[in-house]
Amino acid sequence: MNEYTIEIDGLKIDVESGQTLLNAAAAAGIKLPHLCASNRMGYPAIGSCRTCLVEVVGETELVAACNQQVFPGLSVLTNTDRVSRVRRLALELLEAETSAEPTSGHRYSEFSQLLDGNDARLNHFSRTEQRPEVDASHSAFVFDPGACIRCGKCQTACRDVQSNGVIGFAGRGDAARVTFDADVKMGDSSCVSCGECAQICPTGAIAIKQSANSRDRSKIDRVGETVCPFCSVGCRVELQSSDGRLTHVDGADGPANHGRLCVKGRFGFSFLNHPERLTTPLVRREGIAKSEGQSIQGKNILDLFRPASWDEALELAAKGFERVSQNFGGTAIGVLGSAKNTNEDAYMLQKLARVGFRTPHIDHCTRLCASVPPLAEATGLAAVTAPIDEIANSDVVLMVGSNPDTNHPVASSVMKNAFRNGTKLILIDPHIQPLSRYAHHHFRIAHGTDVAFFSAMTHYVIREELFDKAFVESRVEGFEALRDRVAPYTLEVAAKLCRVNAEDIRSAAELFAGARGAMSFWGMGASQHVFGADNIRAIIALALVCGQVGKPGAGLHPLRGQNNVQGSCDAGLLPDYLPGYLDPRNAFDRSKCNLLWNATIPPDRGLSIVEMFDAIIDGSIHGLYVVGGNPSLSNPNLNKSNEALSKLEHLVVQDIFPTETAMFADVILPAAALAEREGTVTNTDRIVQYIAPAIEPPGDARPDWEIVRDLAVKYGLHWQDRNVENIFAEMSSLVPCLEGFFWRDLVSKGYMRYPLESSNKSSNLFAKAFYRGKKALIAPLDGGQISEQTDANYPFVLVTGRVREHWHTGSMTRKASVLDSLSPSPSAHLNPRDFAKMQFFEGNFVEVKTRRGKIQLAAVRDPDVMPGVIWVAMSFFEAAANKLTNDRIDPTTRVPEYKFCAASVRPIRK
Amino acid sequence: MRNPPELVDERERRAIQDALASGRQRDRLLEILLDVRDAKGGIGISKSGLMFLAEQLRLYPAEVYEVATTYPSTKFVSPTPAVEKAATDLDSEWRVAPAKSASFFGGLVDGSNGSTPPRSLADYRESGGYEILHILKSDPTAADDLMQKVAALNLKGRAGAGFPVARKWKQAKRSAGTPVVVVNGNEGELGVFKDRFILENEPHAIIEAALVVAHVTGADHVFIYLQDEYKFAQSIFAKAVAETMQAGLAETVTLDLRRSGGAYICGEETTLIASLEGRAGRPTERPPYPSEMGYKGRPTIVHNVETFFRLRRAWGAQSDVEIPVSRLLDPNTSLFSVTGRVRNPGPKLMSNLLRLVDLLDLAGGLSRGVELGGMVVGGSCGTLISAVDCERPLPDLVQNGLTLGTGGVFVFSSKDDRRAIAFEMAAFAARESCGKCGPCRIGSKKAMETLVSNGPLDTVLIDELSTVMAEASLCGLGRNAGRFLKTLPSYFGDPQP
Repeated sequence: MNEYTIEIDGLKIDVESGQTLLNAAAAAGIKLPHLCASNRMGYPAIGSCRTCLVEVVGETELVAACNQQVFPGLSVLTNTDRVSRVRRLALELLEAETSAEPTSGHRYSEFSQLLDGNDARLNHFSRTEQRPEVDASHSAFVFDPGACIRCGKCQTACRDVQSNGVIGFAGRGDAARVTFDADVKMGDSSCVSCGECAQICPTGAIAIKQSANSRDRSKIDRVGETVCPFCSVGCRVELQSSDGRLTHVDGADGPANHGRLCVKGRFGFSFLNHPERLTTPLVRREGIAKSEGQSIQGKNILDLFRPASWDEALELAAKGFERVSQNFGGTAIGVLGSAKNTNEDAYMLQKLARVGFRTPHIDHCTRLCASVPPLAEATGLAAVTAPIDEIANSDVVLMVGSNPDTNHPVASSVMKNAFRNGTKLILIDPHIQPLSRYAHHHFRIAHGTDVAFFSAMTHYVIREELFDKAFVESRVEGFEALRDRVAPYTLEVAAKLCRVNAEDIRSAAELFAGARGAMSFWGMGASQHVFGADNIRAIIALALVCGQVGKPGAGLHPLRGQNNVQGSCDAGLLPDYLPGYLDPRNAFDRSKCNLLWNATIPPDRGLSIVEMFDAIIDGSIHGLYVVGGNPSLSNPNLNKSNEALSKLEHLVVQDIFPTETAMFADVILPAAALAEREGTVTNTDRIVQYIAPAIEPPGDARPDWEIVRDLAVKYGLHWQDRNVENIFAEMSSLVPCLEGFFWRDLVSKGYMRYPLESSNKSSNLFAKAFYRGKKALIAPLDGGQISEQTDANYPFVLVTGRVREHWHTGSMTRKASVLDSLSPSPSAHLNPRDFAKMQFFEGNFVEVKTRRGKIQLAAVRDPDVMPGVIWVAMSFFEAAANKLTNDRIDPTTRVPEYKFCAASVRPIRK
Repeated sequence: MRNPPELVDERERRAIQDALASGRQRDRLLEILLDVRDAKGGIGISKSGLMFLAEQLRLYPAEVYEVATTYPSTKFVSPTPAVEKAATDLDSEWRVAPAKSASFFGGLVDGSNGSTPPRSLADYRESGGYEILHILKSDPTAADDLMQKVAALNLKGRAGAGFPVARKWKQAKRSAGTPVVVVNGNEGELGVFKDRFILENEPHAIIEAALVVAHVTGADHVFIYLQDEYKFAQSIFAKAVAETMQAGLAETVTLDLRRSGGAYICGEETTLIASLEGRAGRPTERPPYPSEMGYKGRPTIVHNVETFFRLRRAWGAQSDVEIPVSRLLDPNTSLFSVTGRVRNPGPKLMSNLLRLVDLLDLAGGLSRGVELGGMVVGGSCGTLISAVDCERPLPDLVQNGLTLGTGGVFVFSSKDDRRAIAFEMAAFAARESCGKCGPCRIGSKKAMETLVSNGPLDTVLIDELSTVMAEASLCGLGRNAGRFLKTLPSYFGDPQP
């Protein structure tokens, strides 16, 4: 980048070429007036508001600073009489166009400030007499056309930035106006409620309903940043609060989101102020039995539990585990963590399990997604090879079993930016989903036929010699075995099995193999099967033979569920791995930990989540410490899980809410939410972000690592002096990928990407060699089959998933009022053909039943679902989908088969 | 939140599918909407039809809706602008005057009077037409020579701004991507029809010139963008383009005949390009200039019809007494569109115009019983000239800042209400404002509102409006409208006669 000097009002400033005058000035701390421009990523100059006009020395006409590129020798004047007058008049015209009494936050808007700052009053221009109707049809936003200056920024926000394309700017002249879809009410539109428009609107014409009246910045007494807990993208969020209560949320300029948020990030934080937040430790009242089917909903928790001091509660918690350990040994204790917590939380918890309880049975909810292990097997690194934004360099993208627009909306916005820019999408998903619109090929393969599909693509590129021979020769191990394995999968065979067109598979294979750079993404649709690992191995094999790893625009990227999946795994919150993926069964690896920890840790691979619950029923696990998870809703085959929970001798649940799981607890410990504390989290792109408390925790709630530390002290460990900083230092000494990471750097920089040595050059790894060595491994398949076929009694395939507004079991998002009003109730989605066949009517209550349980919910006609399939979201306790799901697990990843089981459906009266 | 899809009328669905059969690229969106309109007998697509079309093209409904509502020629029933009501007889008289005058122009419109049919390809080639293409193909140095010739002749754009033609070409050649050439035939100015006169008489002159520009700049695509209302010119061009291609004269170039969106702003280069791309009809700020980055990011050379016609001088095309329009090859000859209170309005060719009143003779003199009140020169954003000034030597007026613009001349009588004429001019700007930037959208409406009353002119308000419109508007439409307003106080400062 060239650097040189330009002059603004006689002041010399240093600029880099390629910037606009407006942004260059802002970077130098000079704020030029503007309304329709934004320096955020993806916002082009619109040039409609005409408030950034300046005089360029040597030019006769005024120039818009938002569209003026800087150049050496540029000299501008921003406050001459001419500029001031024109700017004032332009502002006055805009003001004249708005209604006398606009609603919403108009008074505190950028526009109002600019009017005041430029002494713009309605001198000669009379105000419009029209008072357009306010559109309050949306549950989350209000649109007041009377406050709108028609700058078109919201259209850019919706179309070019978030790529949702709901907002339009229709009509001509005086009738030009903001519209939604083909001119429907905002609440009836296809709006996905990301709120980008409300965040960026300079007038407050589009505003968040709930915070429209709290935009007076003088009333905000605390502004802090945190990382969103609702998926692995790791969006940075700004929380504004007043008197300890959250008043407003904006997207902050984080490395992953650049100011963008989705509906959950925007509205999901209101759980922080929910009245049901745990504020004090609770102890089960004497004589209250742990019976199955207890529900906290509508029940006063104090009927079951009594408040206790921290000291008493921790004492009871520790004593309980001591008792279990004395009677049955440490291995009778299980520990479940959460990928929503910080790296420090995860590290402390696994250490307590291994060093304190001396149990190898430590796991967390990442197990339920488990999309990474096959990647680690292939490359040696349990992390993505390329970040999401590498997609901007891809000409082709393979997307398998993932619905990022619903589950990773901000990542999806980056992807859609690329698709709109010409990147071609090959989508493999039985369902029609939001990205289908962008797909070059959409293969609606029959459920569970992924291996056949990718094997056919691989077979074709090998047979036609379209694959990357040089790459295969020098960088791939296991090619011959792969070639033999895929040999039977001709295009025709796969087409028949997958029920798609053979010609299309051929065309997609050619596209993928011929791409200069192709990224491969996969999600739960690939992994949540008893042969999930095989599905992923088949994808990786295809990418490897085509050489689509380790070069620009190429890479392997599993899309993951939680904000700190990556960090929790790195920290060793896993039964099969110690911190830094050291192997507990390997004496050398183990000794590293033993030496550092001055301990003797169990030399075994522990049980996974689902296996732990089996062990409880078998009677080999008696005590369970659940930190931030909710297996009572998230586990498969819930009836069995709940039976196990009620059998436990000692259960300690540590959470921010009294979850369904907490109802079985002996002791409940109130935790602070992520936004309320300090620590680090690692996103899917391997970016470690530092967070500071953005808001106070309620009552006596405390950070998880602190509770774990004090529990450990009660358990007899000398951990009194542990704090986040020294925990991080200890952890980074064990975890190779955190080499070179120092707490003080993270605090000052805010974030760092690992591995450090590559972050200077490229975030895209493995250009020369893989972590495991020069060559990646194409692993053989386990060869599993669908665990439960449909039959006459259970003729449907049940698939579970998520809705955009809710996250996992809904323990946070169902308590966020906007999200719950946008998506208030569970429903069973069926293809219209099945609807007709079953003679259902929209909204009919139905019972969905499997061999393990049944739930009741409303039926919805959904053409996006294949015939013969019932789709149910997992987030609703009222109709907990996991009562139905199968707890059979994949042999490699130990993930349960959430995406396939046999079910029946029948109408019921309600 | 998904709405159940509305049912599309079967006939409309078929019309949409037929329109899609000629191509499903997004950039054909405006053409598709016009095809559907024509198939429905001039009635625009319905809202449910729009939704269906959006789904077929995999576009956001909002995008399709924008396109349908920003181009009036789609005839989509859009929210009615408040200013639409201001259209009056005077305006329609300006626009349709030539068609009413059967003596000159009507003959061309219905083709029945036998006067000047468009010159055929054979006749055109007979007189040396298209030979230049042969020379350019056979002589590798010819293109550079021609470019130098164009530069030496200092040929300029004839759309008002007078930008040197050769500089545009050089910019395009320097910029990344294969260039595109556009013939801007979206003549939309009030009372101006000179391009139509050229188009309907000499279609091959335009096609030849466009192909030459394509050859010289390395363009592979030529758009001929014609005013949607010029049905006759369209049919002439449909035939001429087909003939040209059949004759193998455009082998390396795609000739693409397109209809305009029916708005004045469609003649503005960036808006024109937006309409070719199937996007909403609004300008974008320059730079980048279209000649650097235009249609689909490619360098795009846009000239108006008259510019292309006059270009031929650079390769030696001569005027021909049989073909009146060919007089334009003489740089001292201008083509005026004369309308208003004259006996014989229409396009008028004039060499070396000395005084504005001299145009009256060409137009058969003033209408019966009319005394000259003055003229409006240069269309809707032009200049009001008093009867006295019309007698003065034209160079004097030009020296005082008069520009002839696109050569529109509206003659009014001493009894005509000049204030009403000024109102009509302001109303035209308000009606044709695209609505993107505040100064033009709001300013033009306020100007129209203040001119509608007959009280004393609010000169402070006019000054503020004219300043903000002329200085701050995004494109030329608003800026020129502002400049027009600026002249009013001096004109209406005198007591009314």
